[in-house]
Amino acid sequence: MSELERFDLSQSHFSLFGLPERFALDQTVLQSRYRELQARFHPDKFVAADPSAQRTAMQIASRLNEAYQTLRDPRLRAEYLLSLNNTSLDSERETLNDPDFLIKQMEWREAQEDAEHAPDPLNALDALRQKLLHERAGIIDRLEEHFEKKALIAAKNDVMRLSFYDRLIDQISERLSAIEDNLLT
Amino acid sequence: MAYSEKVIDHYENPRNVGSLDKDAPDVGTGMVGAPACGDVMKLQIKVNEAGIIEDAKFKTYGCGSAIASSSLLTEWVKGKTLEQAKEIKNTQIAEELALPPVKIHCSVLAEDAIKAAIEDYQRKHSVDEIKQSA
Repeated sequence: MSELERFDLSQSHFSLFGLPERFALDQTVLQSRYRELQARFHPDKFVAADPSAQRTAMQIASRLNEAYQTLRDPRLRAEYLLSLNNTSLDSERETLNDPDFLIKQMEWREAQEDAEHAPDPLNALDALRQKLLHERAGIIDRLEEHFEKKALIAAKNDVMRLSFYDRLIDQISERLSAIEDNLLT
Repeated sequence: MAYSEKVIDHYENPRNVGSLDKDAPDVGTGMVGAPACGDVMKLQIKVNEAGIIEDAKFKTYGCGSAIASSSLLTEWVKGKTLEQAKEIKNTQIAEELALPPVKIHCSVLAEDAIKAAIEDYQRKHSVDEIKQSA
């Protein structure tokens, strides 16, 4: 059986990279295993092979890519772990009912508006982003604890909380690069 | 993605934007958030002695559909009893605004917000009744 045929496409993202099924993860190990596998199964290596082998190589490459993108992002990794534990999150339907947290989110949004209108929006937004990244890191630490304790509902709620931070940080980063682009032109 | 005319109308001229005193006994406050898009919505109702919603205000950080959903909802609940307001379904909001499937969660958010506001109001009042009878 060839290397391609032996490859199990149905295994979990974790076992694909020979990693334990847990939230804590060494990014450098993930990255080096991804690169190693990607090099071994790259479709370019199979251009001379028969069409079915080419197709399999393509499937493996996209499977590796999907798994890597999921595991490297803390929120996606947590969501994936939850789904492996039958606690999937229907983010289209579920809303977070945590008034104190949401009041804080409103305040962050107000701070974002203020920063946009500050005399130096670049610095103000960047300072805000630093604060948000700090809060985000705190949630990620908590997630690790929840998963270690198998506290899946608590983990799910923190995944929802994390998505508010991810969203806000993305928006601020976009604004920052737009402002920087304007300064350059 | 194209927004419907009604969404644009509510987005450009949102009704009832603002805040009520969250500590006032006749005000109920609902705060909800949608993880799908990071939107945050605050919806407040002022209830008179007959149990009718006299005023409603909202503040929403989110996309056009989320703002339109909360704006429409504040219009709808005014003059309704708490029981009637509870009956409003997200599907009615989505239908009225012609929301596309990817924006349904915005209407869910609005429905959850009014429910949370009503619960908050009722919680305040059950406490009052206990105080009075004690």
